[in-house]
Amino acid sequence: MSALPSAAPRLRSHSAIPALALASLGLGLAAIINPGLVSPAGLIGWSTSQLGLWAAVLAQTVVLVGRGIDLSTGAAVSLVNVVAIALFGLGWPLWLVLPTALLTGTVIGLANGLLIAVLKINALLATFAMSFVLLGLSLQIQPAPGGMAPIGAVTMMNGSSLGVPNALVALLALVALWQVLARTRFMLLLRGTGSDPQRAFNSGVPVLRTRLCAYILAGLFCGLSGIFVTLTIGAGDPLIGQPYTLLTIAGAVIGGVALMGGSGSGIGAILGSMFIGITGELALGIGLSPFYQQFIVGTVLLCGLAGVVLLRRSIDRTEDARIALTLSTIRRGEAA
Amino acid sequence: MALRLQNISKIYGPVRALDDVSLTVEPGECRALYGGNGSGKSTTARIVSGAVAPSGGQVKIDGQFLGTALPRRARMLGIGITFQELSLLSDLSVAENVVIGDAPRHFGLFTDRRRLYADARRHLAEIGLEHFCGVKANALQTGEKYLVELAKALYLKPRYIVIDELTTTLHASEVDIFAQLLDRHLADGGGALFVSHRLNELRRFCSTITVLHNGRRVADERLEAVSDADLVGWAGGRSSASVATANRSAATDRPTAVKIDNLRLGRREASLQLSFAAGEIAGLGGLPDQGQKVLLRILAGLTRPATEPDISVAGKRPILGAATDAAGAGIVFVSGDRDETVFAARSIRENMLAPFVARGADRPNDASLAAALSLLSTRYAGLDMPMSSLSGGNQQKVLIARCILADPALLVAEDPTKGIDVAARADVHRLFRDLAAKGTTILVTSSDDLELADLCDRVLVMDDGAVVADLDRATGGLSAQAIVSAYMKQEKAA
Repeated sequence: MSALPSAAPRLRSHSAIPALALASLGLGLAAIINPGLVSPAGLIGWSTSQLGLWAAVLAQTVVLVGRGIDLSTGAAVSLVNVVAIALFGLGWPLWLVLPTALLTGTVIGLANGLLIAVLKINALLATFAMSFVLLGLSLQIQPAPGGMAPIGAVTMMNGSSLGVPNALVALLALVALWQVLARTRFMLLLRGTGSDPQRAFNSGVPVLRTRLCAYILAGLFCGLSGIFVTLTIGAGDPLIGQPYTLLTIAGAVIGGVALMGGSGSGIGAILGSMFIGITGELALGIGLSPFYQQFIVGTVLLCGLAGVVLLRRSIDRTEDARIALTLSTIRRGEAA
Repeated sequence: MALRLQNISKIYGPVRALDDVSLTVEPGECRALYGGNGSGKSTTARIVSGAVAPSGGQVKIDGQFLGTALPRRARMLGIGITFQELSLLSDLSVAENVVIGDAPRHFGLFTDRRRLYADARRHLAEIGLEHFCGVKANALQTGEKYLVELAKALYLKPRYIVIDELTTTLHASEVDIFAQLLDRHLADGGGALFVSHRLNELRRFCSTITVLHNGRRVADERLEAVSDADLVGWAGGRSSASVATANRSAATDRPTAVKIDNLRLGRREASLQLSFAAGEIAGLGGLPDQGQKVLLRILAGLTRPATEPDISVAGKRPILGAATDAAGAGIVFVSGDRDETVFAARSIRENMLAPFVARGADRPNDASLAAALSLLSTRYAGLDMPMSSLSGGNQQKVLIARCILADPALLVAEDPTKGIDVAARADVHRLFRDLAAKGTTILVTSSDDLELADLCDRVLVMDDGAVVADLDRATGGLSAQAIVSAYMKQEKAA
């Protein structure tokens, strides 16, 4: 019995492994097809085009872990983008625009949270309706793409330090932020809530508050995403975030976040959305007609998904077997 | 200083679940809460825990009113509860589950994982499960889950604990662990409200008893002053609910209906070869999870066996791992996990018809549904009521009642009387015997060895995927004692 490790068997989530494999494979393929991608300029181009999505996928992850869903992610990012550009247009300085942009995202999250956690409106419907409210607001503020962010900030976001694209530095910061978040008590309560809201409530988890916080936090990540989008493209576009809603859901699920809540990591979700981003690069690299491109992207995505599912299943199966074996060893040890 | 329920009532739609119920638990007292299915025991437990708001009346904990129904507030006021349907969160580790109500933190914001695991370990050591800290809760066996539920209830050092049907699912050795923890809790000046159907356990743990019938308090006594017959009478409103052990003719002269050959369970090299006669009631006994459940689930088509065994039921060979095909071959399954088979939001009628709809078979009419339900004295307001409107015991009765509608060749039932009262258990046993008399073979497991010895013609004691004893009523070798000694012997040999 003493041979058993103290916390055995360890609870290590392997949910991100398939996404890691997929993202590496995709990145490798993309680099072979289009060697320009791994050149300094290519890396900057790719990472700046994806940074907004990486931040947005964390918003979706937080919500999904708590057994919610957010169909307004894309619209929220767009709104933050046009709000920021509008404020720059009014001559507001960077240090004032950035917090206001974050606040905008947070307020959207708060609104979603109040509807869902407090008024108990179905998350799918509430955020779906919210997406149109936000879209309408964005179009009101800025009907067509345009405007300008301060050139200094945009240059910096699109630059690199010591050979590393600044967008990748920002990605590292996002990962670190997630790691901090994952260690909070809130995240424990959120996983509990997502696992089974009724049981969590019975266990003394403040379910309402936890859900509300999840949406507020998601709003904050949307704000961050909006800022990244603004500073990477340097302009405003009321439709810029539109594809993010489904991309973040798909990315999170590829990354091992459970649609039914309870588990998932932001790192996996980022890897998942990286893979989705890379499929686009692959098609571009082959240089097919745009019609075929969609077809190829879709096919690669499907194959990737099937791969993830199969890989995850086999990981789960070996993992379950290992745990069952360890448990039965412990049980036998106790019986003796 | 006491836990007081004052004139509690609870109304669910048209059903009055509790009607003016009062009771008191003093420090150091373990009070039994006893009654039939749907008598309001679980509702009472939930109201004390803050999970459910009473329609009238007050809960007072050491002089403080519980007020709003909030489990967190009840916890802070010193209530710990084990839920009959568990409150463990399957995505969290065992340790996280134990401490979730008040996880240790750093700077108020972060989970202090080291202290969390240290605290949980210390707590789990008391139930002998300290090595299970890091596993996800859903990897545990049923009995272990209930012990963890107990550790979780005790984590915040509550003044009063509410134990809702915990011991029904525990094995004898696990009940002993529970007894130790309860004794210590009481010795430390804590109080306990113990909800159970088992009279011998009530007598073992409790000093006082409150009996509920149809949501009303019908007795409040010192336990030593009353006889079992009184208690059963009060609870059931029925005079003779005791289980009559029927003298049935031995099944040896009947034709073989179920044949299992070449079946390997778990990591076993040797294969099983079993056969059961038509009309035979066979029990699978032994320590929990020694292959009984897997065997039943393979027969029901829910689990695919690792190797290809030969299985025939009444001359048909069901496709293995295909539940629909198993049902087509006349195999009916009663799950030990109610969550798994109940469509809670759907009506009683739909729940009873589900197996017929799934197979595309002819559906029985309402009259036969009602007749089946009345065989088990099921309490329900109407076939249109959702399953969730019934108490756990009554839901179980619906699930068992629907089995007889199918006129099955083989009935496989996992712990079918789990969490239902003595009277209902007698009804279920009678129903099983009637089915068997009509030629149905019945395979059943139970966490209660006495029940197996009462009900079955034959009990196979299993250990690690093998049958280690075959106890036959006809030869006089079947008794609870024989079952226990068969698996205890294995235990010592291991």
